[in-house]
Amino acid sequence: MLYGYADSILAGALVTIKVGVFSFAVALALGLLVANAKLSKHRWLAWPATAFTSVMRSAPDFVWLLFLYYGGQTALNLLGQRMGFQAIDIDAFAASVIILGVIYSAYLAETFRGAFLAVDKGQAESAQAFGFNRLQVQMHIVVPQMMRFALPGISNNWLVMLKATAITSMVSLNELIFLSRSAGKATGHGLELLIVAALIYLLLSTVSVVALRFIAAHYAAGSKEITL
Amino acid sequence: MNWHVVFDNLALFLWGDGTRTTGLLLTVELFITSLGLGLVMAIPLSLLRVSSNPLLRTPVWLFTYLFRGTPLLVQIYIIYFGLAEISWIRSSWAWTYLREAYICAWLAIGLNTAAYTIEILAGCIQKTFHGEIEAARAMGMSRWTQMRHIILPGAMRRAIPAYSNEVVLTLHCTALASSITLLDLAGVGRSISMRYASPYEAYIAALVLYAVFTGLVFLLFRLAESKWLAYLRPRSTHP
Repeated sequence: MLYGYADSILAGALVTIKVGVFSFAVALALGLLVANAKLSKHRWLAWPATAFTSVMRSAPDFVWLLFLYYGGQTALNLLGQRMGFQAIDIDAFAASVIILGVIYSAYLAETFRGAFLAVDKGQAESAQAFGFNRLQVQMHIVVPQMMRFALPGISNNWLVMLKATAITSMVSLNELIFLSRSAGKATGHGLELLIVAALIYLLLSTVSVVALRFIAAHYAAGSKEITL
Repeated sequence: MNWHVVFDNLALFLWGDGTRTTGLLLTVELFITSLGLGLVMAIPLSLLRVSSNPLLRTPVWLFTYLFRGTPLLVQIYIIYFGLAEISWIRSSWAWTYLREAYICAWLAIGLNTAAYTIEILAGCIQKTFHGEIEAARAMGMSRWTQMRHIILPGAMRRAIPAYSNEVVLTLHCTALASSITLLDLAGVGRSISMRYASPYEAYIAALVLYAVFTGLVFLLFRLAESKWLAYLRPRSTHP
């Protein structure tokens, strides 16, 4: 099947899913941190966080990936020379996960920031009045309510990032696009193999949309949508 | 860092080397022509997208579903590498165009942004306040007149904030044109960084130029919003 490249393409699809899930986990964690920094009263926290999100979002993710990937590799090599250890070849998978995670954390930080601001201030104040400490206020009161506002943005970012994993093929990561393209070159059936890759992405996007709808329903518990 | 890498090739980064357009100018060209294709397709197709007739609605839905569910890079590859494998395309008139990398990138990016713009516009059309349509009907407007004077102008105005995001995304999407040999801003960054075996200067120059361009687009949309969405601003309490 698939001119003998079925296994290879399946393996590529798995790498794509892994890169997507891992880098999204990095992006969520880092995005939450950056959003909190942006909302901080301390200017030395808020200002760098705002600068980070603006700078990241002002240029294409593809160019950032190339810059951070090759720049990071060169920096490591130079460091190796200075310190006298053997040059390390960075692992394309780990590097792609980290770089995509850092890029998309800037987009998620904007989503989280807006969602935090949408939670009624009185909620945190009354929790404090009940004797919750600051961490408890965040964990039990603010974050669960914030998630409802953040979910549309999170869903959107996930769908964008899932498709953005395709650009990691440009730093020779053996993911879906890279493998189907090389299979296409080897067999001369590039069109069919690319269409198979596209259909796998379509399946992943569709499954994501359905799953995200269930998650949104979970966080919407206790709220009602207004219909006119 | 050795900034001569950038300054010696400044023309390549900005407009070209005399024989061909490269760098920022190629990015601008690709950006504007793709947006144009997207918008020209989106206005009529978004109307079909909200049609009550499934024969009109479903093909447009399928188009946006396919283009929004797959990565742009695959779309570019299918059009550039994939179509070249079909012999009847190679022997048809279309081949004179489809063998050009620029046309393929333009087609892929344009169709991609069309799909997203259709959904944005269709969403805004569906959210038209029904009182506006009732009033238009009471004035005796035909459906076509309603469409031209009431529904589309309102929907297009309300679409501006979401569309501004899509426009910036499209600008950033053009960077993928460098994957099929085009020397746009990202492509020049890649080729210069490879030629000098130094990843910093060339990529930083490309990143800065993209950032300036993005900022400019952003500014234009803020101006457009303050002009065309003025009627949606909260009324000032101190007139």
